[in-house]
Amino acid sequence: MATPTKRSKKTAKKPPAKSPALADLQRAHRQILGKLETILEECSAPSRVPFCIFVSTLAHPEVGVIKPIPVTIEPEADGSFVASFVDAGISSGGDSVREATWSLGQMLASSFQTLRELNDGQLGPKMRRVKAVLLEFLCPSPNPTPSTRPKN
Amino acid sequence: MSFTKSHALDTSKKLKTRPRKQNLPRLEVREVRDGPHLIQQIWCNGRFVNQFGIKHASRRDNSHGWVARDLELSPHRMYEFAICQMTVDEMIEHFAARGFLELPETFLL
Repeated sequence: MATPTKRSKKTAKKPPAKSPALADLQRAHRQILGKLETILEECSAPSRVPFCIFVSTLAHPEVGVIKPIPVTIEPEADGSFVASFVDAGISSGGDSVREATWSLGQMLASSFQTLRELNDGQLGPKMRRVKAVLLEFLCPSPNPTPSTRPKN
Repeated sequence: MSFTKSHALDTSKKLKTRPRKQNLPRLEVREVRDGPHLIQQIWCNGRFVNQFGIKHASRRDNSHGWVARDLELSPHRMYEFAICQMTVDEMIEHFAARGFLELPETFLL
């Protein structure tokens, strides 16, 4: 079996010296690549911008939805999310969008049930408005189904 | 500076305190456990004026940023209320200014 012979220092070829123009070009390429990597990281990270979704079920055994509820999802600085039904001024949150939305649904259902039992004389101006909005979007469920908590 | 469950519990406790100004009504906070929330119902003069939810199964350092939205306060003011830099008197006046509760003429400053 042939063994590779070591090249002597004299025969070893030195890499060709870089011209200043080539070095500048390489530096510029590295900068562009760095910027592209930053953009890619930002694009692949979870959204930090508020957005709106429409909820057509609350997954609640006793409360149904008449028309889809516009829900605003806002990311928090710590990575959690706040879900709000702005028209009713009711919000809740969770570690994921799914959990925040589910949690808001439970809060809306609970508020709906409480407010339905109270007459307007027992409500302040804001809660009267909340009741009117919830009556527009929610109703007692005709087909009760068990509530299921979302799994992350 | 994050508004946590601990701050939300402090907020609820502080809302129950008697205001210093005698012409302001005292708030009553009723806790209702429903689903994942411990709902804090705020009552004033026998009327249900506002509410916010505290997640009862969460850790004390879990973010509860939605409380500020429910009470229509800035996150900074909400934090100040929880750590006692904002008084309950100021909170009641804020509620009146936002139209959560109606103060009789004698209560208006």
